[in-house]
Amino acid sequence: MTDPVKEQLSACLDGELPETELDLLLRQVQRDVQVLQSLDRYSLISEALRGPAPVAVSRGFADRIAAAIEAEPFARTAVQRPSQAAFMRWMRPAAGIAIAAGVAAVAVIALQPVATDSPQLALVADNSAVSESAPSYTVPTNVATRDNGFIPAARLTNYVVAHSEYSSPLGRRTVLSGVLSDDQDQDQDQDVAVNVSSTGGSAEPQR
Amino acid sequence: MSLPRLWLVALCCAVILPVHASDPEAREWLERMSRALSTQNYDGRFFHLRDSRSESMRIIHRVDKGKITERLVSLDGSGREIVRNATEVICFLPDRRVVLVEKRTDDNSLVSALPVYNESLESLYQIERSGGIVKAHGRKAQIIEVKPRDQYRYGYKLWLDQETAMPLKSQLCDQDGKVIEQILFSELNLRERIPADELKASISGDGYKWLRQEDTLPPRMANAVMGWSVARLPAGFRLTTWRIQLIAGSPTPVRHLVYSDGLASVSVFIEPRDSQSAPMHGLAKVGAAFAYSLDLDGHQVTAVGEVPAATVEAIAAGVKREADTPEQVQPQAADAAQRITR
Repeated sequence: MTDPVKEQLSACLDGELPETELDLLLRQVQRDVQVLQSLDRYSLISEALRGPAPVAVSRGFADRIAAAIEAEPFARTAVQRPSQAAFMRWMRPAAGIAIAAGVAAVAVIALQPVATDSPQLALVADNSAVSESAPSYTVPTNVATRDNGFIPAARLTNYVVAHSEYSSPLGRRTVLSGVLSDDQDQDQDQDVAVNVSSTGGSAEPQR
Repeated sequence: MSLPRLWLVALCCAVILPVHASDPEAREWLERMSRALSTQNYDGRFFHLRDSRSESMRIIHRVDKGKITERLVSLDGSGREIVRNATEVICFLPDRRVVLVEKRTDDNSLVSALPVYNESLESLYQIERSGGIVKAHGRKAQIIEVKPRDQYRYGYKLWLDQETAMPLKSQLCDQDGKVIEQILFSELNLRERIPADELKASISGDGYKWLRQEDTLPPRMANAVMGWSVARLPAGFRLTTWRIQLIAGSPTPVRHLVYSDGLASVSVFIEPRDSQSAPMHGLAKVGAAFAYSLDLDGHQVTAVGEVPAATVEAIAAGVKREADTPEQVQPQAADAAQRITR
């Protein structure tokens, strides 16, 4: 993805992109697989917005992005890495709207603090698109599970928490957020392993 | 000086200078952020985005007489909470019906963990401002990028509030700039003071299994860290501190060695494996952090850190036991939680 596109995308997410440039961005979105992947990443926010806080998303804005995405089959021949494979699932027609809604939703979040002077406030309308059409999915894990050698979940949490004391403030936020959000795909039994895997090749440290 | 020589000097400058080119103002922004994060009272809500997941969280951060108390709450799903105060880190895990209590050490690990943004850090990370002031979340913000120079550490892209230097948005990125995790604040309030009540967990933990450390540490074993080291470390990592500690829920003292490159850190835990348990081997993941565990000489060695998988694997694989180390107490290492000065 080129830098100007990245900037535009970012500006779009921050609610700063002028209407005219939005069209340009939409055209680029159709062409550029990487942009689509970024949208995929950002679209996750739509899930977050299903929480109790009422967040409104413009149907019109979402529809335009959805239409743009659906209008053109993008590079389906590209080599599919796992993230791309997951992304493809988003690309089913029903999912298109969810991506678009996700993008719109980000713009709305971004807009909240300046709720007085931005013309793009017109985006705020109705968020039903988010909650009704956002499909749930999980990124396929591309790691093989090894049979022996599990770190028990409780032990791992212990280690991670003990480690967090020695992380930088940003690192600690990352580590502790991980502890808070961990386990969503884990077995109920706490003695069963968490995502234990083998990585294959061994890493050679640099000197 | 002859002309060819001048050319050579010029060429050298041209080659060398960009490598060392630093952006002092970017470093200043990061220092400001560090100060803000450790001195301000604030509460906020943020989205934690990783892989296919997003979770809404709340943070309440209070500094009272230099002591930090922080409460992190997962607002959807698990309902987990973490309360960190001056003496303990308490994790309420209602989904597992477990409360985990980790005692904090006396030494001021908080201050020691504050990164120092200097030249040596810049040999590992490129630190720069990315453009001018932008708008993020309706506030004016400066984007600061901390880019790793190799694959053994992650970098950050930070949107720092112009006025307060608080990170409004932060991305953890790998060497290629791929975003691994994002923290997006949807709300952030700096507050004059925060009542203690707001830092109490909403869960009592009654009826849960409480995993605590034993109150008493074993007799201090000054030589306990001796005999264990990491033979080959990824570039820039060095031992910064170590301690013998008890981990909640286990009676066995664990050696805890901390390696840092100045920003990223990796803990190595070494504990004797009891004869019944099977050796653990492999990679595990908690959020954006990785852990790699292996069995060495009857001990379980586990490296944990907010670093790429390759780094924990390399560090765990580099752990060596020096069998011939004398068992006497080293006079200069008489304290079991000794800090290695830089």
